[in-house]
Amino acid sequence: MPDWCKLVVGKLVSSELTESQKQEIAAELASHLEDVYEERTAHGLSESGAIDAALAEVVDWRKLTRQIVVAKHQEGIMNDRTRQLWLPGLASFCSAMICELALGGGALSGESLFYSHTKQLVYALLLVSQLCCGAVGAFLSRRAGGSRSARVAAALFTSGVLLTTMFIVIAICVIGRASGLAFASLDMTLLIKPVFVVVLIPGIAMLAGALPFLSDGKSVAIAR
Amino acid sequence: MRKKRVRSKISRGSAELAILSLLSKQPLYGFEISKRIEEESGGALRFNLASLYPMLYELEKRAWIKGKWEPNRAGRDRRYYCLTPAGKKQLAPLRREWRSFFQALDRLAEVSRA
Repeated sequence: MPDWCKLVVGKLVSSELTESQKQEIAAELASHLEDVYEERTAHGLSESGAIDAALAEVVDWRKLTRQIVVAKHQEGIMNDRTRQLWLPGLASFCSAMICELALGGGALSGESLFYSHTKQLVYALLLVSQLCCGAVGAFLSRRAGGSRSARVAAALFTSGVLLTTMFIVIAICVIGRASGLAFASLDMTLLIKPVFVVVLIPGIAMLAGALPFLSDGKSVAIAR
Repeated sequence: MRKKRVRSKISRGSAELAILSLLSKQPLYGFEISKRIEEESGGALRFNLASLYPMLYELEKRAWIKGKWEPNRAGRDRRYYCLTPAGKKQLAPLRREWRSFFQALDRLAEVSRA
């Protein structure tokens, strides 16, 4: 019986595999060839016939080495999480910010909304635009094969970022107040109201926009 | 070229499902996986070394399966693969996708009545 391990080590020529990787892969492939050989001899094949049968398992060693290197190393330009969550989320966030800037959403405060029809109209437009932005995030995530939770997360990415930012600001204010710093005199309600107007209500709109993309659709993606 | 790519994608997807399904029952090493696939598919599916191991390494990179050296029944060290929790999570949607795929194909080409 040939030394299968030596044979495989000789065939696995690649500078992209470390010595320990090469040894482990060679040991595994050699054990497979050994099993094929033994199975064939157990079925009554001659030794040379069994060796040929084992060697026939691989037609092109160079191609196999290349495939193994790719499988072991190549992460691809982007991993799944980047394609399914971060990029769709970022796209949703950027489009939401652009819409908000264009409509002057930052200037909308909770209280003034109740008194100005123009502001109410602008806010309604803003919500419609946020609905579309949520849809963009969920759509891109679904297109990249994202799970339902990834699609929701991509759609609500903007709300998440804004909420986190606001919590940080509120936390700084609370700490500042406790330490007796100058900005501690800020009215906390001024900080909490925007949480509803800029984060929570637009978040609901974004989630509504994502709803049509939460189902898996009729198309089936079999291969990855 | 495109035909070849589609065929290769389908066979790749089916190979993933076959491997994950087998490993969901028990840990197996490469040679056992190829034998079991051949036996349980009635010879319709066959993996040789060249087609099996790149797939196993790919699934391992995705953390769907995990390989571990252990002695087999004959006392020889073999690299046994088992399904990880992430792999278990993938199996159900993969099965659903294939079921839908075959149902769609059946509606289209009446495969089951051929």
